[in-house]
Amino acid sequence: MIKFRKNIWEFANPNNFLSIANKIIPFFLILTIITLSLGLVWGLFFTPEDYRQGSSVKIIFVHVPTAFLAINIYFMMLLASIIWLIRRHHVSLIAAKSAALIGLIMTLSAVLTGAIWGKPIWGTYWAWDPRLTSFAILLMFYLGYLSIWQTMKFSDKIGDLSSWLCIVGSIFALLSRYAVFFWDQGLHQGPSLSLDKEENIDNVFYFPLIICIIGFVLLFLTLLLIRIKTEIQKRKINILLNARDG
Amino acid sequence: MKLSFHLLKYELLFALANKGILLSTSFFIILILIVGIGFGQIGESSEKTLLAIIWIAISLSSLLSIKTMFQEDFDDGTLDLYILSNTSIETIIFIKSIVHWITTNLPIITLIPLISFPLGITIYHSILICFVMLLSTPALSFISTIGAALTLGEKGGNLLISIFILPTFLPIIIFGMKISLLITNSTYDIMAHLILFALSLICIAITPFITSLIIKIHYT
Repeated sequence: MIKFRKNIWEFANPNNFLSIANKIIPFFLILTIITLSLGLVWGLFFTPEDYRQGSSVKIIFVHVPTAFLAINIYFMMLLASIIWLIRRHHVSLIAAKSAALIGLIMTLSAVLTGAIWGKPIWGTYWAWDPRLTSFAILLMFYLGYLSIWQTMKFSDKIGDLSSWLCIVGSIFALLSRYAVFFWDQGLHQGPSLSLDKEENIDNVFYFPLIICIIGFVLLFLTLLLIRIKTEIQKRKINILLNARDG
Repeated sequence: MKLSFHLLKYELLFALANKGILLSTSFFIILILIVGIGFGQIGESSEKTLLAIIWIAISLSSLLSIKTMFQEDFDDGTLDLYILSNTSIETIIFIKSIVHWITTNLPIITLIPLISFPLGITIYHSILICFVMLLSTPALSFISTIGAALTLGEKGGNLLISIFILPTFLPIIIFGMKISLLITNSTYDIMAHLILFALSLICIAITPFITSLIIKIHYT
């Protein structure tokens, strides 16, 4: 039985976090497998083919959830970084650090599935459409955030620096996104390659898509919990090694 | 206030003595020529590519001497004294960024009519582009101080600065390139100009505070 704490700030103690994470992870893992397999099997095998796009429309069940996560993981990192800067919540910092790689992979897979989808429909793998460009921008900021962790050793100072980098990065990522959109909607006519899929999507695709999104979010949470756990244990080992060596 | 003027004078003299202007302008000219020759080989040398080269070259060259901006002061302890002094660290960052802009970007901008005239942009248009650059490039110098502060005390931080800072130049590069392209087509979009200058002003107003917060992290 999980004992509920008074407030979230007590999870700042890594041991409290670990004891609860160990109980939650198997539960999340099973839930992820059930939801993802349900959503993907329903989406890939039991939906009709689109009358214009044929069977290539089915990549939507991977493309949309990964794109959704790619953007939202950055917001999660931003929130976690701000919580670290204000409350010195160590688990929050580790969460931001661990989420970055998952976010990068989600961005890459969204771009990749988009390219695979784009070839038969648009005739090109990549176009400088505003939405595609904003994903390229997101990719750059993920790379910047990851590189600060890769090159410097883990310490509270680097935590502060990376949090500030995340905040500055998100400000400029938003600015760049609006800069890209300004031109295509302001001066030029709207792009003929529109990615607004969720507006006119039929219910046949809508329900499996929602299940897939929930499944991918659960997958992200499971991976995040596992990565946070690993990171905390890695830091513990480092502290023990340093103590032994004096 | 008196200290700020002294600092401005000192920093300017120091930059002049270090031949910073010569280095940045030669870097800019070499970059333009190399990319221009490269494009010439594949038969692609229109105004559009020239504008893109100019904006990319100016953003690369504003990262040139950024690493030394705080690093030398950090190493020999001058930065400690700045933090202890009555003048706020934000003022010092502001002065340093202004000096960086004067010594790297301003000489390059004055060169642009000379370079772009023979390559196919009329002198009137290139002067207009210069004005756009005059008003928007200070933001590049101010933003890159964030990178200098982030990699303070880090060996080999130059590459890291490029990785952190080049993506943050994007809003200004996107607007700048598009506005310059419109200028060469003799169309003027006032809204876009206003947004570009607003972006520049916001960067100038905010970045000294962010940079000072980041520098203070190194002293806790």
